[in-house]
Amino acid sequence: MIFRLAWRNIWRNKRRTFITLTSIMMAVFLSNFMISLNEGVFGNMMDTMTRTFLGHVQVHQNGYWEDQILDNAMEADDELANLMLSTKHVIAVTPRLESFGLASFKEQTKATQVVGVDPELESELMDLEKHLYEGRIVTREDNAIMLGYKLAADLKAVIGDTLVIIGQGYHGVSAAGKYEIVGFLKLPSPVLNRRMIVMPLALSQYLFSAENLLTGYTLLVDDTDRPEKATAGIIRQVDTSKYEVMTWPELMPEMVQMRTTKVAGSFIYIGILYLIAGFGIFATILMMMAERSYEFGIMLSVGMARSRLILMMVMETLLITILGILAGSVLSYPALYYMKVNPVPLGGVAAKTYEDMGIEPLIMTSTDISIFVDNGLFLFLISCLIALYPIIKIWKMNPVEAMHK
Amino acid sequence: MSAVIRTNNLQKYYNPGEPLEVRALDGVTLEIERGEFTAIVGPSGSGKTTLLNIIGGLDHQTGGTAHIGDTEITALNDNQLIDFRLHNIGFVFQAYNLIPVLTAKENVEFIMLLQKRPKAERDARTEELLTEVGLADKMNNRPMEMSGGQQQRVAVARALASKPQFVLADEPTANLDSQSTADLLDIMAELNQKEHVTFLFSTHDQRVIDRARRVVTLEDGKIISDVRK
Ligand SMILES: Nc1ncnc2c1ncn2[C@@H]1O[C@H](COP(=O)(O)OP(=O)(O)OP(=O)(O)O)[C@@H](O)[C@H]1O
Ligand SMILES: [Mg+2]
Repeated sequence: MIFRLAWRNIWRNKRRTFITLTSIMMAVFLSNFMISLNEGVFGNMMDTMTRTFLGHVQVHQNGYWEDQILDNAMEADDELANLMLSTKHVIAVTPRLESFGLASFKEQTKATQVVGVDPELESELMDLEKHLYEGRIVTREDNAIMLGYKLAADLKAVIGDTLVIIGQGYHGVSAAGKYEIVGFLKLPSPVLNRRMIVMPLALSQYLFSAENLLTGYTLLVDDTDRPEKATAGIIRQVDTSKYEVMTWPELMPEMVQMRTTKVAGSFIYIGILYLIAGFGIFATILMMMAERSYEFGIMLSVGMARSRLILMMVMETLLITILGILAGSVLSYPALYYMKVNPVPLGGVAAKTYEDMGIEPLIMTSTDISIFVDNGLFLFLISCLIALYPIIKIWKMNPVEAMHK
Repeated sequence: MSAVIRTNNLQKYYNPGEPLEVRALDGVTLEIERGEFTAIVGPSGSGKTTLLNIIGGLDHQTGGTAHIGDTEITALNDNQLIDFRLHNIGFVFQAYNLIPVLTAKENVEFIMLLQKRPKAERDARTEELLTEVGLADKMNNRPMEMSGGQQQRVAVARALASKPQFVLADEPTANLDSQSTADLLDIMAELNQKEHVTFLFSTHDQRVIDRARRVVTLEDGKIISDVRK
């Protein structure tokens, strides 16, 4: 009965209810959109960055991350690798040797990042097969290399060409080698595409005179957002005076910082949106209460308990909000889903900025359900606060006075 | 004693002791017997509404007492009063009595829902009452779809739905034309005679006064005459 009354009451002034609903809907739509974009761009970026190259966790010799030189490399240790792989939440463990080198082809020379990998173990991470752009992937025993496809373009090299790499090996030994290019890689990172050379681990160890050495192990875990679930188990088992166990937020604190700044910025905007929607709801409730004063007087007079009248008004307040939230969510979901499936490429300055930050210049969205739930819940809470007004008002209402107004 | 309503030296002073003191009721002692059909009359500002409001538990006196049956209504607190009204008093106001979003049937049923009566009883009584006020065919109309007179008749049906001890009506015909006024009074008189419903109503209208069987006249908050016909 109370619900029926509440439902019919909110449709008494269809136009006003419609306007209020629209304002809530727009607020929900826009804030869903904004958070979705943030989550999409940053979330996708971090997810792809960690999954395809950085890993969720890295284990190095103590001090390597602070000073990333070969002299801080560690001994390859199968026992350690197996121990980590058998730890809960860990999905993959892969050894790498990374260093810098100058790559020359004909007149072109470029500074590059040389990564020695186990092509088979990388299948969970860098997944050479999946990111192959042209040619073929290297095997464990190959005496060949793969290039980021943009690096190849910059060097004007094609499959089958031979590249010279010059660098500095372990303990200052000079490193140089000639390698056939067998494949190009296209990874979801502009920086890597422009700078990376991938070669078999053994070959890189030979090039850098780093027999049986690694710069570290790269790990993939089951929950990108909670890598510490896995590291807790690892730290208990490895000698932390020898090794550093780092999660991805520790590996790239600038990214985390950037994301926080961005999110904080959008919260101000979202706050304003909610303030507008909140005032819209409040104004509507205020008007409904004022217009219906006489009616409330009648209802109290004939014996409707205050608690029921309050229940009715609270229901009306929440119903309008819930309808607005639903409408906004229903409206934004398909739009965001479409954009998620069909990311919009950025152009011009924006694209350049994104690339400089190492982000793919794509407008991506996230349709994570928590975005919709969080936004909806927040607005619902605001509406609960607004509902205090009718509660207090009706609690103090005198039927005779109410009917006089 | 068969008195439904008893007031003893009832007083309502506004701004007591100040230069602007208003004695809306100034010592009203009145007894209404079960089954009476009484009009409260008097010039504007004489205290009719004030008296009905205090008897109806809608307003508080500043002196004296009022009893409904054995209950001293003037001693109840606000929330006790709401519940007392629901079960003991039927109300008909001057206009806009009905809940606009409910149909005639739902408006009548509303009171019984508040009283938590079973559905079968609600349905039967709603139909019976609306038939008695001659609106069986308007059951599903909303107030907006009815004339002022029809709305007042639904209000009478609603007032009776709770099986109250008596019905209070403050100028129930003030907004009606003469035909609707006559119709409403016919219905009230009939309910009074056949079902012995006690009515206490205020009015300015001579035609309504003529239909009353007891006329209590107020002036400056005092009863100046009380005539049974
Ligand atoms: N809230 C109030 N404050 C001060 N005086 C009031 C208040 N309410 C009513 N009065 C005064 O009390 C007196 C009685 O008012 P009441 O409404 O009972 O008269 P009434 O007989 O119903 O008049 P009417 O025929 O115009 O409806 C009037 O003088 C009125 O001005
Ligand atoms: Mg009056």
